[in-house]
Amino acid sequence: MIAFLSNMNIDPIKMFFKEEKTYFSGYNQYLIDLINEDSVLYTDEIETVVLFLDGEEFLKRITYELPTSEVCESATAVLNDLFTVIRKYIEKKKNVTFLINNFVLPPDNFITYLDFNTNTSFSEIEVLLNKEIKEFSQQYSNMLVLDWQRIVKNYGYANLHDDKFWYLGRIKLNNKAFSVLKEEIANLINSFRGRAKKVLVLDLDNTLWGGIIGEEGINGIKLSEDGIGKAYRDFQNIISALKKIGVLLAINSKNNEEDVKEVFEKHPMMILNYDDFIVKKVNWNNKVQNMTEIAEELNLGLDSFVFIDDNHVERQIIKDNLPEVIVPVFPEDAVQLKDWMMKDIVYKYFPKVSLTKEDREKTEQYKANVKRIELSKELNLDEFIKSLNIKLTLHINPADLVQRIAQMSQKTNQFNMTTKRYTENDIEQFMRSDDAMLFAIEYEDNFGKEGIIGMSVIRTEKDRACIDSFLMSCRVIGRNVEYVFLYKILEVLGKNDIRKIEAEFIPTKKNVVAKHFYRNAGLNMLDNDVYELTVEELMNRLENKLLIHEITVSG
Amino acid sequence: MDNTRCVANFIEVVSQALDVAPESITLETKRKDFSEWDSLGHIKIFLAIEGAFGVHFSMKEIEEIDSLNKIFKRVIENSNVMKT
Repeated sequence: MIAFLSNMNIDPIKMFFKEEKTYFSGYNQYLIDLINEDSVLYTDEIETVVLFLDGEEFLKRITYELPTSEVCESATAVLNDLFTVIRKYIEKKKNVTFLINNFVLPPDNFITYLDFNTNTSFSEIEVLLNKEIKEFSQQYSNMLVLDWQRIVKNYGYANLHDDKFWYLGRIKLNNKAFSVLKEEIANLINSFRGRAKKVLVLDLDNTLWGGIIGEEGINGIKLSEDGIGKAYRDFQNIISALKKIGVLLAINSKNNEEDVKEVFEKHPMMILNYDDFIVKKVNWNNKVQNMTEIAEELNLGLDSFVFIDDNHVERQIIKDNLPEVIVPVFPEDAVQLKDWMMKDIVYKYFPKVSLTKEDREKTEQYKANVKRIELSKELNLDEFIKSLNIKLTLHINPADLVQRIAQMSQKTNQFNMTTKRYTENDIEQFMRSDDAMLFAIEYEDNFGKEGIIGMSVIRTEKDRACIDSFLMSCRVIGRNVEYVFLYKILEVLGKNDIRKIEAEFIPTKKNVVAKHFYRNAGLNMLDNDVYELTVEELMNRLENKLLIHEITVSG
Repeated sequence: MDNTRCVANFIEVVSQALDVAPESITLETKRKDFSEWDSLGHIKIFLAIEGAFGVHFSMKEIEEIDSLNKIFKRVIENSNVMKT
């Protein structure tokens, strides 16, 4: 049970503590409750005491006095009387976590500019009292300061206080104040009870830097000292600093490891080192499997994990399959990264109330213990893909998409079977030609439209067809869209009396992810990376991969 | 947002503030008829409504208003959140 003591009415905070049992001492009854051993505070039910004092109310006798050194001394004396009472209580109740706030006096007072320009002032009194509160609290291992000053700095005094409620019912704070106060108390208790998270798992592309390394290359990604690249650099700085308070870092990213290593080793603006990450899963496996492996290797429960990824589908797949992992929503605009990281992640999931030598050396310790375990956990990915409600549109020789198709042909590096580059002019030629066909695929799911995400050029000769180009944006890989796209192409070819299909994979430095696509689709390999099969048989073999049913054909 | 959803939202916020089931109150609920709506409950309603819908009530209004209907009308008139 949490007990709340105050010199105001803070009962409305109960609206935010629905889950916990709470006790509210009467308005201004805190001294009596702390002294009286028959009060609820002395029962075994109480786990936490929150003493939240309004500074102005606490010092009301001197608010309209000139803040002379005598006044200052009398303020300290009142505080020391309070300490005597608290001391008696915590020495008796050593198992109770005791929170006390620091004071924030109203920003305006009658001595106006004297307040900052003399040594005996209200702001000086505030500093002095808060120093005493801090020193008093540090004497007891079960006592913590609730940093009300920080909260007021964040949101502003006027945005948290409302005199109307004070006059109506001795409530000084407004709804916003109660909600942030609740958060702060919960974070402190979690931290104190050792319930903070331990591992921060990060995606890479559009998370640690702007853009996609596999597509844009080391010189194309956004990471710099000015412009939006600076936002990613600041973000990396925070992550790097978290190591110092004992947070373990890991990577879970769909990428080619060589591309990623190149960034870590050669990009001049990188803050983080590859070795800062205790476990690195950079591959094309699904992220659920990677996440499970990270947990096994660290021998830590998934309930101590926080996963940061810009891609909502990847986040959803983790949430659905590993509900213990915390998966926060990623900010829409990289500008917000720093503020979001501090407020929504660090304070919330990695709060610290004490720092040990072990914390500082944690990464090194764990590194020695990382177990290498091979796992192949069966996951129900099919169910997940179905739940996305993917809608595809197949475009055949679409004259209005020439520009986008040419652009994809020029830019796509990873899931690209042949990496042949075509201009707009080339694409138009294919569309007009009698012995070629052009296909494009458009994607939409529960989360929104992705637009045209794949294209293919098929060359035909009598009853044979050859896949000249087949490429797809990596954003949608792993959701079977590539197989459905191939199947729909075959369907069209079949109707055009094509019997046999031939295909080739041309390896490059960047298209490792696509290497086994034709084999996995069911094509027979004739020679190294050269495949063929009848259209009919290939369609049969693809049947079990068709998890997406809503497909429109246009053109 | 249509009217039914506005009302449901509003009732939800009030019920959270009073810590009662949403079904136990309607727009017709009056202060004098509802025991949980005591003087502290009264302030909690306005704290929660101001927080949720960004509407501001004067002290005089808070002292005078005695039914959910009147609060709801003010929310509808002054809140952008409820209009969208």
